Amino acid sequence: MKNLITKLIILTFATNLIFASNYEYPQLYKDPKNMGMGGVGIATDGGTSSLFYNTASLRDMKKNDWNVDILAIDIAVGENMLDFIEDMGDANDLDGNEETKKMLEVTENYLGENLHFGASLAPFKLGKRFGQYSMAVATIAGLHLNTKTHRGSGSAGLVEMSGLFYNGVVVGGSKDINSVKLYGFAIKDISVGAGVKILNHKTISAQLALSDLVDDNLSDRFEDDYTKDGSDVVLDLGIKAKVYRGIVAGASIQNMGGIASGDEEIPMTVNTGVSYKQKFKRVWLNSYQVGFDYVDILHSYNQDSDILKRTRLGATANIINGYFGDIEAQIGFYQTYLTYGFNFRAGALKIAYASYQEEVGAATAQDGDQRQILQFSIGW
Amino acid sequence: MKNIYIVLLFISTLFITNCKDDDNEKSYDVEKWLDKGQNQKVINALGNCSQFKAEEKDKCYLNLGAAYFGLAKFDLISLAKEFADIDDNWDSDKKSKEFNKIIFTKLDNDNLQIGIDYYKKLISSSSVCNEKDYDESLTKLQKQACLSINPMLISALTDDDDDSAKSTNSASLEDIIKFKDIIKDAVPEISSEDLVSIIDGGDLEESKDANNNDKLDSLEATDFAINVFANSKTWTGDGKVTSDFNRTANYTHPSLSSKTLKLAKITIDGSSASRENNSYFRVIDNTTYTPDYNTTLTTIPDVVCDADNIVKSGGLDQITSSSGNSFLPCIEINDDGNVTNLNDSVVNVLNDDDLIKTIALSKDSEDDSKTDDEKIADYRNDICDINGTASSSNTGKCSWEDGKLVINQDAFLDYMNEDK
Repeated sequence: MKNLITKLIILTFATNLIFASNYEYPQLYKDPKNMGMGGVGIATDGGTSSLFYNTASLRDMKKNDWNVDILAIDIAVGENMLDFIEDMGDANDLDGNEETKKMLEVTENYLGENLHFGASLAPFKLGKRFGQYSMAVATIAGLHLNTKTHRGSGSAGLVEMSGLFYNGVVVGGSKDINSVKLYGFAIKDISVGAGVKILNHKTISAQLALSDLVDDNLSDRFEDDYTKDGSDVVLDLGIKAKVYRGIVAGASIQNMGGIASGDEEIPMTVNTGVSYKQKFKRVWLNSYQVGFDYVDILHSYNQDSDILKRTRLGATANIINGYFGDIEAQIGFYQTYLTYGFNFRAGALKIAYASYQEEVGAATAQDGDQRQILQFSIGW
Repeated sequence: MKNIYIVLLFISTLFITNCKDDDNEKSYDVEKWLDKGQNQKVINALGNCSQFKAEEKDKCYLNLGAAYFGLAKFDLISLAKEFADIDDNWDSDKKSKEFNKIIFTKLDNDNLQIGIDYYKKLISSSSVCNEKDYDESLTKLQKQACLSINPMLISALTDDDDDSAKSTNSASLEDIIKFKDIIKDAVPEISSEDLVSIIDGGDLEESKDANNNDKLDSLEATDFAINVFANSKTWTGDGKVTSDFNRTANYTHPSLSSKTLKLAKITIDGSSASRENNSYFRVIDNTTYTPDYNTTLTTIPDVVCDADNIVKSGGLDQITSSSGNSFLPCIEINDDGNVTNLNDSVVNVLNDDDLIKTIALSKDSEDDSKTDDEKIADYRNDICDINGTASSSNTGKCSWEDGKLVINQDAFLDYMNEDK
């Protein structure tokens, strides 16, 4: 029995950093600026990252200049994961039995807690406006993994894992349409957009019980039963228009056809949003924008039918905007949880940061997983 | 300002009309509570699982089993933590004994049996929890239930046996609990620590071995009562074990009133070892049964009863040779109203094939040199004190009935009193 317990502890630790699953809505890419302002991005100002929210917002790129981001690296880590690594590090500093005791204590403390790690690399993101047209292209590779360990004797098993590894090319464009009259009401600054994503991916979705871990063929079976390789070509459509003074409305259809059909599917979603922006002629606080999105109107994410989990609300303000750089700050509510962030540009160096909570529980406010994203890039 | 009110009104509407999936939400909570050790919340939330159907019902049973195991602190992390608390400087044998003590202490927790009962609802019978069926016919949920019912299976599954070597024998935690209960029937005063000391041959506390012969005094008292007052034999054991008095006990409780009972106070003299004496009361059943046997009844330690077997104030020291039926040991009576006795426990339970398998396989779980059948045969021979192969002419201290070796209370008591 003693040897058995030792084996199981080893198995638990060995798998601790690799596995998990939850009720999170998988998403291909989360931009730090958007996440700082509550995840809104359908009707707010865009840039090359609009390829992942609403291609019609590509028109917001600076006129005449190339919008370039090179080596954009995003790291997204759950606070549980950071704390877990720190606590395990402390345990590792101890010797002999004290180390084992501390590791067990740490393992118990993190039972049922979602451990998240995500990263993405965009070697380049390039965009430019050509008169009424805007074009952008990005190459991207990334991963996000969720791991959760359990006490072991219940239906959740011992270890859960879900994750997505992906790489590919995303291309999009938009066209401006001056204005249309609808029932006598003038809608101005209309932009329509379309995009295509060509992706290769590997998904992992596993719920491993003790019964799996004692299976000699687990490593073979894991590859066969719990991982799936695939590739998809999905289309995006978007529209955005100024409806009244500074109020802009937008809608997008993202990922038509769905990415990685199966357990970790990113489905086609129909999304709407509205934003309001005001500008001032000064260096400090020269503009702010608020936005509200309701995403996945058709409830294509089959995790739940929760409305608030699909709701985003946020604001961004340009704190200072000078020749050598600028600073913006964001605040918002994402799935009812508070978010905040900032982005900073000094010359060609860009740094963006956001803190938010992702709902990993089955209903709003059940189990928010605190996460932080940090992005570095070189661009202009 | 008006716009802000409109926005607030809109957001309030979203909160009010929000759709939630209650089943998923509850299921998520249950998983979280199990992980956080909030087992009572799981039990309260799931009830008896009647609200679920099909696979969801099986998941519910599994979670209830896990919750009761959690209450008994019989989950992987809790066991591992207690194991880690064992002094690292001890040798492996001492550590192993200490670990067994931890396990046996947990077997006293009634929640463990309730948990097993829930796990058993997922399978047709505990006998399917064997290595071969596990690989060939069980579902994932059934496998998980089996690993809780029969933790010894984990060890078998982690061995690299080929298909032909996979055993169809099953063992179960429930059988180990029954085994523990038999021993408690024989020696009501026994603690889990004493039990492990007997099974593993560990050192006894001085206070429990007055005559310093490495035998548990309470077990010697039962052995004495069976030999002298049940079987009318001359005591050939340690001379320090004697009877202070023996007299008739007449209970008026309906389950006891028709029995011929004798009450004895047995003392183990500690003077030669400069230790305190120990005394125990034993109630011997000399009623004539068919087939006939005499045995000891299971008493409840540390309390005294009246003739109707109802606990009354006072202590065991009020039971004397002349106290008549006013002060008597309390007799354990089960839920069916039957009196528990050592013979029934040993004969009915210890001769149960599944139970003897469990004990034998658990005892030698790490020994790969013997087949399961050899381990079982060796264990029976060990209890019966048989050299070679058991047969009708080679029964040792046991008997041979219907072509089968039958363990009896005398053989069992001798086995328990042996140095191991």
